[in-house]
Amino acid sequence: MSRLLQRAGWRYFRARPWQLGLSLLGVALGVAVVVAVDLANQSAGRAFALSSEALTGETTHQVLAGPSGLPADWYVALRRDHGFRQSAPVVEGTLESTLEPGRSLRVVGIDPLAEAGVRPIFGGLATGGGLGEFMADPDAVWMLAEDLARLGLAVEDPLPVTVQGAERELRVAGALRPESAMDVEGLRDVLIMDVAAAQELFERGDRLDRVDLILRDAAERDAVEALLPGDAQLLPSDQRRDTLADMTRAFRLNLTAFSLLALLVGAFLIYNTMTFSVVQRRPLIGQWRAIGVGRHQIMRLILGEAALIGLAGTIVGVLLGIGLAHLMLDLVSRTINDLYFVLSVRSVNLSPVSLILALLLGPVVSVLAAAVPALEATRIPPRAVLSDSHAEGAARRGMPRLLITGLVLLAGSGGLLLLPLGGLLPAFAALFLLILGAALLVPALLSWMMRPAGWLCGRLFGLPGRMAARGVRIGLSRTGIAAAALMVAVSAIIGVGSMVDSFRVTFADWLDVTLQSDLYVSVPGDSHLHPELVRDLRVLTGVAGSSTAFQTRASDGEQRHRLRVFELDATPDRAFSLLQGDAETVRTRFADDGLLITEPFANRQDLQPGDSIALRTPAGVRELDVLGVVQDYGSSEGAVIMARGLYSRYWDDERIGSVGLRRADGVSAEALEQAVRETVGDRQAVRLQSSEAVRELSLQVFDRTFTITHVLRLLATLVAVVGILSALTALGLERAREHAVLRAIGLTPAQLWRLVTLQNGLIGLAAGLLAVPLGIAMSAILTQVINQRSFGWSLSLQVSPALLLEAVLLALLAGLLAGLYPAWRASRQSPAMALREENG
Amino acid sequence: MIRISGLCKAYLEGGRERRVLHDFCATVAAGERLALVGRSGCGKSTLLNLMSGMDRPDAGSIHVDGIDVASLGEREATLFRRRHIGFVFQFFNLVPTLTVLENLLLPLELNGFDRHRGHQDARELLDAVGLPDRENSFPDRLSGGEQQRVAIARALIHRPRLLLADEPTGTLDATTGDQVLALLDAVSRERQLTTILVTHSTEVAARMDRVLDLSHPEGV
Repeated sequence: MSRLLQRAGWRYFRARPWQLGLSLLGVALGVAVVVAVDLANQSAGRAFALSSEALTGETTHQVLAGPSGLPADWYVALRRDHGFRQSAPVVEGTLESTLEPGRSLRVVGIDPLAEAGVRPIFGGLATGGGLGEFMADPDAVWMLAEDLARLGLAVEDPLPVTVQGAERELRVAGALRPESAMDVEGLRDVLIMDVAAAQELFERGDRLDRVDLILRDAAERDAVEALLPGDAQLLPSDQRRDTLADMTRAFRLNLTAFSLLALLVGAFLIYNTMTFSVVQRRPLIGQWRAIGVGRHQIMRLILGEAALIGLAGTIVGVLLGIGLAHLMLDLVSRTINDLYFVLSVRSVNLSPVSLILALLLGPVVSVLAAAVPALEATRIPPRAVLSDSHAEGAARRGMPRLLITGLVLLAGSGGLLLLPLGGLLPAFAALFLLILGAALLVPALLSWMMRPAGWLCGRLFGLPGRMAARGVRIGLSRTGIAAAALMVAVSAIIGVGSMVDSFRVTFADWLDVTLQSDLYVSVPGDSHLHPELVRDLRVLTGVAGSSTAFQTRASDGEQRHRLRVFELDATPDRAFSLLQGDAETVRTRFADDGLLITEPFANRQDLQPGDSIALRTPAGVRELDVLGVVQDYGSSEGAVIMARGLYSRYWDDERIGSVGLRRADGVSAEALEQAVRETVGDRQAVRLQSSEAVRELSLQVFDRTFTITHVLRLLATLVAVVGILSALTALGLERAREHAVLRAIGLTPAQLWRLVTLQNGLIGLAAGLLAVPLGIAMSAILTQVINQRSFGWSLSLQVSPALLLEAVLLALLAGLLAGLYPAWRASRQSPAMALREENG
Repeated sequence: MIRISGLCKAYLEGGRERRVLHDFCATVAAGERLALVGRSGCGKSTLLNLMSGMDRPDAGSIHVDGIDVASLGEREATLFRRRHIGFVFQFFNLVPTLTVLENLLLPLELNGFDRHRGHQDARELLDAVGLPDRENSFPDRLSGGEQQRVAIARALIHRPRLLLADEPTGTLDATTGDQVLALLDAVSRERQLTTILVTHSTEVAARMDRVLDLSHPEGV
């Protein structure tokens, strides 16, 4: 391509640093969000894999305990009598250090003597000098040297922790210094202690959580399988890891989709910039064509410029994204901790594949976005000047085509949702088609909206009012893009906001149904109440009724399901919101002859009332009928719900996680709490929470879980504000001559300021109003389809008028803000100078 | 009556100062019709901009009916232009977002004139410039000559004291240019309007009362 053409292109952008800068910023922000989410997701995934690997070591299989745990005797027999020497017992639990409140530490109780052949990383402990002390001292823990340094601790220092509802002091007996960096990552926030000490710490008696094994062949596997206690399960190590990773897949996919939304808005910016650059250079391109520059050369020039802007923006975006990933990482791992399992992710993993993909993504999206304006540029006839009005005329003539394409895309979106395809990808495709389709309708809708707006503004502000509205219509090829970009961003605010609102309201309603007691007594962490204490509390004077709850895991032979065991205060059909199933059947059979399952569980396992689930119990496999499906937002993995009576029939396990107490008439909340405190005394450190406090705490966790969604929404908004700023700035600069004429015939700077501001305000307001139906449609897809398919939760759609008003006002404000610079420039520039420049 | 004395104006171009007007002096009598001629870049358009208050001189003064335009602040200069100046540009410069009638009404509205009377005046003027049936058209629907006639009507509608025309026929063909000039000629004579017209054409200049060659300002 001609160097002179390139130079002309470069000088064009150099003369418009604002326009160029804002486009770069738009791409950079879009790419940054994608990179940050991708890196955070990858880092969380890698941390999980490393943690699993470090703690799994060479093991090929794991024996996982059922609700009643694995008896230590069984393990001893397995190792000693049946000769499975390469086996190691594990007891796990979580606690918090008071040095770092809010951060969970994972305790892994091991037998150092058994580790040598199983997990080389801990095998070293057996040869260390402090082994005897480690095994003899029930408070001794080993932890990563890096973690010790972070906590400001040294070997032999006390480590204050909260466990089982009580404060306790552990002792740092040694520092782990794995040679491999991957093992260092895997052992972050892990405390290693002797298995007997961990049993004592978590009050497990002589029970184990699992036994890790190295099995050489199928015969060995069958042998272990034959020895398993009734409710235990033998699984390949990698299968368990995959199951856990699967749980977070939908969550991570959702994040990725949101990040792509930001990039989509970024692509609008590139399209916008390149369209402006073509529109503004029409006369120049016409002249080039007249002197023999070919269509392909023009095409290459425009696409080349877009690729360069895309590349420059991408480089900035990748750097910005790496920074942003550190912030996201915390939010992503916090959400995984809240929703799924304890995971410590501290470092961003810079995956070369992710970075290369991101570096390609920006320029590719930029070139694609510039394709339409580039094609338009090649169609400019070889004449010196083509007036704006002709260009706009062409834009207006193309409007029906855009309108039809938009409607076709919308129909496609609806079709994808109606087809019984299932899965998340068609749902996200429908969402993106909806956004693109709606964006294509904007020019036509904007043009129609400006007719009544012009009449109204004319009545209110006279001629300048009419001029403002007409200006929007006349410059439709530019104002349409600006309004579309803003509409997309504002609709994302409405869509995501409504989704979170819907979730919150449904969740709060569900809490109201679930929390039927007045006071809840529990032990913090994954510990249990002493059975005698529970008995005493339930017969306390002033208690009209009580319920108990306990959570464990039970296996169906292939998967381990979350099992919730309840002794209810009310009939089951009142204690739960029944979504499917017959209330009478649930009432009569739940106590001792069937199960309830939660909605996500039903969706994930494809089960409904009338089906049955086979559960492994110490007495063998038991087929239990599914009586009903109940609403539940406690876990996206889902759970099986069983009555205490039925549970006790199969498992010899009296553990209770929490007790709910209902006040008798005339007993105050304070009096009941006082009575409970007196009964508990110093028998156990328990947590007392009123149902209001539980509700509030649950909502706090809920809000924390959605922080990342808010951050992504904020970033998408930022991209859009940059977009509208860029579009309206360019529009304002393009109208410099018109503004100069107005100044020449006597418009004061203040009047011109008002005119430009009014025009931009109209664009902002129109975009805001158009965003309302799109936002509601997005919200419907997000709540009714995407959430349902991702997490299995059905939500009732909530659209708050306050949110809609806020979004429309935000769009108006964005429009007004974006108009500040062009208005300021127009009102300050000497009209003589502007006319001379433009008339050239 | 316009009195210009010691007027200087220079522009920075590529880091170098280019003097356009240097110690320029001139007087224009009330109702006089003056043609400004001279080679390109000699300061003709600059002088119009300075007289209308759109640009500021580096030194010197411009008195229009006793008002020192050069000393006016931004707002006063705008109000001065709004009330007293009618401007006709080479490239018409009609406001594309307003109809022909609204382009004419704009100066009246800015000056706070009666709306009803404004409509009447605007229609009379459109009649006078030969475009009675185009009041609802947008500028881009008009030919160059028609646009310039609307521009002349817009420059006259608020009855200014001074009409400034910067190469008003520069982009028109000879016939259309003649028609536009005839119109300007007639209107300025009829209204006894002080008129300053920039042109490269000696024929056009010959129609005016006096010719001032800015390439040789000493000859004034």
